[in-house]
Amino acid sequence: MPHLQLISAIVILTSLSACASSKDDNTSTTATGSASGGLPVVALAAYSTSDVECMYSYSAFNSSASVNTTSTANWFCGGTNRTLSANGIPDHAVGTFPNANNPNTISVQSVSASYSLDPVLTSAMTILGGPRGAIAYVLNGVKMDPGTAGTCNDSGGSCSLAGNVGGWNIEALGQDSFNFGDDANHAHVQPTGEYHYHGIPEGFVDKLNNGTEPTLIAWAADGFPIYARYGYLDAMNANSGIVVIESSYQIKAAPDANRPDISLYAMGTFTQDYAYVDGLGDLDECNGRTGVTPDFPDGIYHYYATDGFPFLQRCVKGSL
Amino acid sequence: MILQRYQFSRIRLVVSLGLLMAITSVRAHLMVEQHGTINFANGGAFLVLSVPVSAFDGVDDDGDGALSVRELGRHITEVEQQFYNSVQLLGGRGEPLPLQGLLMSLAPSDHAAASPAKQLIAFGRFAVTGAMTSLDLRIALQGKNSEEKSISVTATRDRRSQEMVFTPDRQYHSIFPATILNKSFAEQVTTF
Repeated sequence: MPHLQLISAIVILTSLSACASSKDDNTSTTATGSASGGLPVVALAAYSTSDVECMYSYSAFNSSASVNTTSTANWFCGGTNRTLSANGIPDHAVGTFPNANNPNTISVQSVSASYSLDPVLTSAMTILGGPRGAIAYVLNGVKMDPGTAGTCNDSGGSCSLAGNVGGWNIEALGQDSFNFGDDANHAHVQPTGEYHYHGIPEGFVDKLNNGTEPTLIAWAADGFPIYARYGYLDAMNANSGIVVIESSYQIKAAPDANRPDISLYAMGTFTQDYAYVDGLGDLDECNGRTGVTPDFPDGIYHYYATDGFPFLQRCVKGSL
Repeated sequence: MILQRYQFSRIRLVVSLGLLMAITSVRAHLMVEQHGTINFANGGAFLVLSVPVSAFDGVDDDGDGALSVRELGRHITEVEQQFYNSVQLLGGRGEPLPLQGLLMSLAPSDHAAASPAKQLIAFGRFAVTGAMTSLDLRIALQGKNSEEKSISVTATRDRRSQEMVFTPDRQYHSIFPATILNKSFAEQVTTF
């Protein structure tokens, strides 16, 4: 059984690498540092995942027409880390690649990752994805990478392309004006041949065949687990019934200033069209919540892949 | 188990995405270099096109064959104007249809996000209205290097698709030429 180690509101330095002047467990201490935004980063709780999915190993030929090669993924728990070694080949049927809207071919990748076995929930949000680093890997070794590159429009303003930031990020899912060739697994292929998910990896979920049981499908970069679609009605009660977990994002009531006209691009086309509304759904800004799961009956902070925006989380709340 | 929906009745606070949305970064490529798509949907034709920087005149100040953020900022007007002039969807009388909501994105490599980009990805929407009976796509933004002379574009409409290759010798392609014999393009678009 996983061990739950709660540390209540221990305030530590931003990097979480410097020592905090912690006092007794379950008591608060004063802040000794501050985040870049001026706010202290607070460690809220620590958990252990060392007994869960430590020996996940898979290697089998995938005869899907656009794959036709062996999918390999091996997770291993050793020391303080959970490590992944994989070839990035999906282990389920995929759509046709290349296709009309995605001209790339799936190819073998060299995938490795190492996450903490003792993740610590903090008060900070860290955005990941793209060059910032993978936000998560599904157990099959395929990356979750839901974000897209930023763009600037022609209406002037302060939109900056520095670091390819841009003011407007076209969503790969949730809009049908631009077609990026995603398959039924909400995935498509990078020019490098890397197959990656923008939403719930349906083929992998189907393969696990757990029905509506809350199903662990991935590990996030901060070491917390990610579940697909279903969770408990009462986050802390495994006997409360199963529900489809919903994010707390919704389309904004009015478009942002300088947004390309909504008569051209419907609301929902851009990432910036969505706002987090505290309490609207079941989850926080990073599509996570604390609660019990079949794998963690004592409770843990965990994320969800959801049917609605953001589909897959864009940030993590654990220390890195 | 019982499938139930947990309803929250109150919305306490609308929180801007703030940092989450403001610090978006280079993410998944949305178009491969020298490729593009034009998708007819929602009453328009939505274009995504990756074009070589070397196709643009007077914007590569340091002559490195790539476009930096600074160079793009300095020459954004010229870049946009050249794009408008060189990438056109033409109606039945050869008239260019308005390209609206033009969005630009530099496409640097994944491993050097801050480095100048050799490709520029443009997003836009052509207004497809009226009783248009034919449409031609014109792309005249071929680059200076040999591998930049050809741009492959796929047009999609519902479940149909058409592949086109644009080169210096072939800068025009009719889109779905067979289907438009029976129906005006506007009708096709609106019946998706």
